[in-house]
Amino acid sequence: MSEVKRIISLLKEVYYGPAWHGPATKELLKGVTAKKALAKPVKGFHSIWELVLHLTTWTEVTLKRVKGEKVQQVTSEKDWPSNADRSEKGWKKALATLDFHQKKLLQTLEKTKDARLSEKVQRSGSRLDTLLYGTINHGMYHAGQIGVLKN
Amino acid sequence: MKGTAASEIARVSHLIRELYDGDPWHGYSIKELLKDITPEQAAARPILKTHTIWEILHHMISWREIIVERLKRGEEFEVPQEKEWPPVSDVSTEAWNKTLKTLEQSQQKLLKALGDKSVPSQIQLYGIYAVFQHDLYHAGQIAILKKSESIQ
Repeated sequence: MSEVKRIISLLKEVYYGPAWHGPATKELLKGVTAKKALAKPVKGFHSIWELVLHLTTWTEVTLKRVKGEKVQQVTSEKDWPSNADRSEKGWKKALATLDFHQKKLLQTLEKTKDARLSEKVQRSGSRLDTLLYGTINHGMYHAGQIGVLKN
Repeated sequence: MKGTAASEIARVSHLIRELYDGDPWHGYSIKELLKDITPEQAAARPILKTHTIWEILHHMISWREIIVERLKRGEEFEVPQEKEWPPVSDVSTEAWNKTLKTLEQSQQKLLKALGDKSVPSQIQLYGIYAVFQHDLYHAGQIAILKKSESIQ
């Protein structure tokens, strides 16, 4: 299997499933209402909605890096964006935005050659493959948290 | 980085080390997360219907022990239902220290098994990644449970 193909299949597993470790992000988010997404059952910890916005930011950053586009420094406001629109419609939009970036990332990777993986990424100094594995792991880590918050 | 089995083993070993006691990009390592947790906190159930930190560790250890066994025998990775969530019956300090020690040993055993296994099959590699991702998924959960006010 080519390296890019493996990365694509891991990204798909984390987001769409089926995955061995447990439910995938999209499976976990299914049936979560805006009200549930806003709830903070664990004081001092993020809501599901905040986690979705956070994942969206990093998916977008990763997408830009794969494309070789310039990435602005991720400020704390961008890292953990606040949810301005707290309606059901706003929640649907948040989910659709994550979905959109996820799809774009996969589509872009489909066109990416293995040789690019060893290239250093602008700003971070890491190799592109290290960054992509980081994105996979980051998604997995927060998926586990969505799983708990959903209960 | 070529997709050879040896380089894949090197990478997954690195990922497993980073996650357990290194400096992973996503957040805290498992060892860092478990630092300062008391047996009472580990046994607390701050969120109903969710496992305790202690139960999660038993679960992680079980997966790790099974993969080590399967790697040695060259078998496909699979966790039997009855081994998924070994119950926590003793909640003493000694038992908690024993759980932490068993986790540490499972880490050593896993890395050793990976070192011995120079040419794993694709399906075995898949199992190793699954165990790593499983650890990661549950590490995120331990991070929340630790934050939960009722166990602080």
